[in-house]
Amino acid sequence: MHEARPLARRMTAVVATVTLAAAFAACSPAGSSPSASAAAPTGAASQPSVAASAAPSAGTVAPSAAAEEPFTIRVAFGSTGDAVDGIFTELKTAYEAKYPGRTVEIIVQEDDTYETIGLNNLLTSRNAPDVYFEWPGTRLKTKVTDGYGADISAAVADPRFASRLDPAAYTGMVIDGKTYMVPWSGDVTNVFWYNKALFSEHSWTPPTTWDEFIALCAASKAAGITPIIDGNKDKWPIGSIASHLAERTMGADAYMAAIRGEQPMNSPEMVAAFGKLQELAQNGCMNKSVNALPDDQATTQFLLGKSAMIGIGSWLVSDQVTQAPNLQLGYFNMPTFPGTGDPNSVLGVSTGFVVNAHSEHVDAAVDFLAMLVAPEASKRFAQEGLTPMTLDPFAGVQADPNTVTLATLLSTAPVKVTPADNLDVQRAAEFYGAAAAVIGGLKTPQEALDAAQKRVEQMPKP
Amino acid sequence: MLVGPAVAFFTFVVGLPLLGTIGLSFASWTGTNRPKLVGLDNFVRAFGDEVYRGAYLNTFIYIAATLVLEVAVGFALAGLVSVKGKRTGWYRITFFIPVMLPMVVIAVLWSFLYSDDGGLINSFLGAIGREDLQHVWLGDPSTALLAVCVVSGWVYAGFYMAIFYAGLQRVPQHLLEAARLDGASEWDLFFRIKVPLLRGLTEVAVLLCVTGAFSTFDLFYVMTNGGPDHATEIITTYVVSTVFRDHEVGYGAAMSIIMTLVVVGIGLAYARLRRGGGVDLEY
Repeated sequence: MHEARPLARRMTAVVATVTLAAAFAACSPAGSSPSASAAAPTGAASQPSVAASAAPSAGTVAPSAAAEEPFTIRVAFGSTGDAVDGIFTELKTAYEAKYPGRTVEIIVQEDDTYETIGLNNLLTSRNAPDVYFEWPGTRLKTKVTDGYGADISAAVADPRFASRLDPAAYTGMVIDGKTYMVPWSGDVTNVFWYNKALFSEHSWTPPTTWDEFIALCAASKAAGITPIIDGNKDKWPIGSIASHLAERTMGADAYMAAIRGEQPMNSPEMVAAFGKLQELAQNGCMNKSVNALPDDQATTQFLLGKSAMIGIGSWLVSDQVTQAPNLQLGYFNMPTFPGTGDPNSVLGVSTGFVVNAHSEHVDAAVDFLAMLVAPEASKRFAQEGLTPMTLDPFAGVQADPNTVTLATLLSTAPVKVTPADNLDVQRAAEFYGAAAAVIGGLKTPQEALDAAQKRVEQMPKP
Repeated sequence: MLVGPAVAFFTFVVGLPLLGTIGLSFASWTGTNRPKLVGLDNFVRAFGDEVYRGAYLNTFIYIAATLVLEVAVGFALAGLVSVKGKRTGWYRITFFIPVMLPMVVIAVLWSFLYSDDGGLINSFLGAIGREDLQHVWLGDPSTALLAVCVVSGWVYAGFYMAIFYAGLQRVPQHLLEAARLDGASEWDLFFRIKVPLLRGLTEVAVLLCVTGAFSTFDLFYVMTNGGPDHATEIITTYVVSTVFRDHEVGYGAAMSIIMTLVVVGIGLAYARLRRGGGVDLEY
């Protein structure tokens, strides 16, 4: 799609549309779609549960029968790098050794492809995955509503899971009292990272309050150093900061209600939260190119020492290890300011794996997930820079100190704030667009949020 | 009988998907749920969607810019490289090289050129003492669209140069010689003989440029992703984000159908203009 050549580009728009149509047709559930089948589950109420599947049923195969007949389970996820992908291959080998007769097929796609169209295509295909990676919140809820999430409440009560995962790790993974996801990895989505050498050179200290933060920006600017760099071309980096500012200003419930469309997005409280973004823009805290720069380029610039700080998530550690291993990094959470939100809240997101409700091997899929959260696998994931959601993921692991403390920050946070795009993708797009307009100095908070609210009102009601 | 395979193939790869898209445009579908009929809701929403309307405006600005930067410049380049000289072959190759590069590579390359920090353009402006002209070219709504248009022109001017150059080679020499004998200058030859004789080719080039502009995507997606604040949002980037980011397949299908109708309408109007425009100059 990105590599259209001249002749392709010069095709008529009719052909372009038809190409899109072909994509739609490929995604069409007609015929092969589980949801198109009269016998297929149509909602959470009709999902086969793991407990129920212990006995032979229409939707599952009894373990004993499955053991006699060789079969394959498919595991799908978006790639987060060769190292992590390799651990899944190790898991496959271990699983196949532990369960003779069972084969694991790993389906790994490019991360963005998986998130946008890949997973949907896989789920509606004839060879749908039995287990798939997903984000909790709206995306998970949609999958469950569409009939692609198995109720694994009974399965996760098993010691294989209960001894490895804190109940709090299931936040966003329980819908109507039923568990649909096994937690895998977590990330702090936004903190402000700083270059320790630069801070030391100028005798700067990490700020704790908003006023100190603005003063630090001014000092950095006066020293000729870009205070904060961010690459907001895709809108989520500043959108994440806006999410956190909104929670701190108006509280988690009000923030989430606004993103879910239960409250207006242009409330005075939200305008006040966006006022903080405007303050950053007006005080020259951000790089001028904030809305033109991709996030990875911003990361590189920061690691090259071209700014004092960057607002980004815990995954910066892995970039630092590969791009600037000698750079000393520190971080601080969103500085505090008066508001009704929790001053120690942390913006973070967890991810996990879902068992496809249409899988013929639900129990085998659960067995795979049990190995995914087992100590051996957790250790391997932690070694590769992930933050597994399991208990004590870093025990006996030589992990980056920042990764370890960030994991603690997330696990001990009094309030975990969910980024807007994990709450409602469409409304988050408008929310993030408004944040981009404010940070770019293109609109005032009121103008940006009024425009966002107007577009939200045009969206179809859920 | 002989056209049977072609008709079957066309039906399979064009007709059926198009029908599927038309069907989906009347439905609400996330890609995984059961499509739900919503009547004309998607179309009504599209007509009231400011971003979608803005995407048309941006697309038409892009078309206008590319007609100049691609077709007109391509024509001018063809005229220049047609002049007999020692290095014109090299010039032809040089101008055509961007056409052969992958668009993503070009987009990334130009993103660096436009960078406000160390980018070649801002560095050059700084070097000549014109810091006042330095800009965040892709981050400012007032310059972002034009900046992308310039890149498009840089790439495809060479493509149209190749088309026009081929046409210029077919201009009968006896016409040119007769004109020279009558005292015509090289400018006269170009504007009074060559340009009129290339009218048919120009019309094809304009059609390619207009329809190509409607279907362009990669350059915008990589360079700006529709931003800042939808300043470079074109129809295709908006449809793609609607379908693949928001998973509103039905709405995306409706917007695609509207775009198809617009393009078909432009094509029909263009054909009608051609019919009413008199007889093509043949040579």
